[in-house]
Amino acid sequence: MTLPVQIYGHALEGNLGRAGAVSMVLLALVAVGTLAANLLASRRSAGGLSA
Amino acid sequence: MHTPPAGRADRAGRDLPAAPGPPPVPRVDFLRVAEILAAACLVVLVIVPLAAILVDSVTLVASGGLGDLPDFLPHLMRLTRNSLFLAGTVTIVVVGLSMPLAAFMTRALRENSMLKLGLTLPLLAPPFVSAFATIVLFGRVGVVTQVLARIGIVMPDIYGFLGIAVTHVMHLLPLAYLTIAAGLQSVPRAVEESAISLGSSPFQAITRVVLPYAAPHVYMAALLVFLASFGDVGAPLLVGGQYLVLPTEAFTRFISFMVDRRVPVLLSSWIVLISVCVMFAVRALMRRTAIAHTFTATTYTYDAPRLRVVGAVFCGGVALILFVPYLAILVSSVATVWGPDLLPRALTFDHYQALWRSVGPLRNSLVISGVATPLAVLLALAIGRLVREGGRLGAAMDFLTLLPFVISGVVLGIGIVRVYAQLEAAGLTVALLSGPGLLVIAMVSRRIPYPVRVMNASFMRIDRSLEECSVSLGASSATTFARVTLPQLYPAILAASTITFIQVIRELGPRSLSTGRVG
Repeated sequence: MTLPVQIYGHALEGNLGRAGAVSMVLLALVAVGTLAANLLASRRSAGGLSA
Repeated sequence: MHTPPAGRADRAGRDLPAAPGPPPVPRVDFLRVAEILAAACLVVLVIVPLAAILVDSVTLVASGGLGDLPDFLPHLMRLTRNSLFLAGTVTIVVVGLSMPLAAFMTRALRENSMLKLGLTLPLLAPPFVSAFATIVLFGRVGVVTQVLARIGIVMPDIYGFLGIAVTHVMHLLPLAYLTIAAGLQSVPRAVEESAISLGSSPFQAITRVVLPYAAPHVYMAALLVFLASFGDVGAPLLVGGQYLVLPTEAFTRFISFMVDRRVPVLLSSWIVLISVCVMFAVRALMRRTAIAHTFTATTYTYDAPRLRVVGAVFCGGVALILFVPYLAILVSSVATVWGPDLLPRALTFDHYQALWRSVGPLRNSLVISGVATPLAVLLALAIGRLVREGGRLGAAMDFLTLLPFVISGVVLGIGIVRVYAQLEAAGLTVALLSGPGLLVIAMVSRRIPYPVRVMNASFMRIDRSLEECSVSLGASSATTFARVTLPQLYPAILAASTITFIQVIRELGPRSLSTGRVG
């Protein structure tokens, strides 16, 4: 079982609190990834990571 | 300066012809081999599962296999009508809202990062999380439903067409807005300045000058929204109620042991056919409306205070509406009971503590994403080089990587499981490819378009003269790639890895694989 499947299962059972908690964890992971991508993009445009 | 090799000479000092040496050993171009292997992998990951479904369907129809399914065709027509009506409605609403949104954001309002964040927030979340937010807000015991009921307003039932449409509109609005905004930003500043100086009002300039320039982007936005709504399975499963659509029906029929196994295969083929037809129709429309122009660094801004106020109210209102569902998810995650009142009765961290006690799903998500991401990026690296080299194979691979983006993830998942079942029946199953391994394969095949697009764009930006210098100085193509090309691609590889990781960890589509059902 993965996080999306867990959210789906809890939401289907009506356990909205648990589904909300798992959703927040998933959103936090995605947000960290997005921030990392944005950071890389900004460093790239500034020439910081260019070879 | 080139120095000739020392040759043999006779006693008088005259040069003798060089002795015949061993024939030159042909050098293996490892990069070419890697490219061809990557192309073969892509064919196995994308074409084989889809071909398996299509061949099965054609065989079934050609052999008159639908005779014992008298209700299938009317059911298929009803599902098709539902799916097309849903995707069409969502597309019209989303594009209709995104056009003024993009126009205000690019032409009337000043740069505002908070507003931009609010408008793009739903891109972070998977569609089924948006559907979950819809339930929290507008469900039968939802906060808004209960609060409105107290003042005598009865909300319509959210479980059905309305629930899916609201979820899709709120979730897909940023996708269309960003695509159309990119189109508006590419309109030459001088064209708009000319229109205004000749007496056009801002409305006339935007509708008669700007929008025709940005038409291909509008069509692209419509295509992206239509396909995303048409292929989504998460939201219809959660808030669809009795409103059945094609991907949901294919998924539920596939995981059920009680129904005919041919039905999900036929439904999947039908989804592929409709998706590809829509894609080709929109691409043809985009070609007809494309206008050749150069990209501009700056865009024209209308200096109209009233327009700015209207724009700020409209864009701020939309951003607030898009933000509320995620606030609702956050509150529901720390609420004991939340329903009859505007605020929850009490706050608790029990839900998070329960999550901490069973970290299995989190670990599984991280492991699957951690394995699928490098595989997808490695594949994308080879495909990106192949596409840059051009030729028929490169063009074919470029098109092939579009397919998982166009076709519903459920269809791809069903195809992969069917191929695996056929391999298993033939005794060709590899232990590594079962269970989580199969899920990793499904994730790579589903999300390969993202790293491939990033790598394609990066390969196009590389200065090829550096590589040519390296080769002319005697370096092999592999050495040139490792020491000249790859260092220039490091930022792109990191970006592709991040994007792929995000896409994989939030994927629900190939969930059918985790049920263990085959055949």
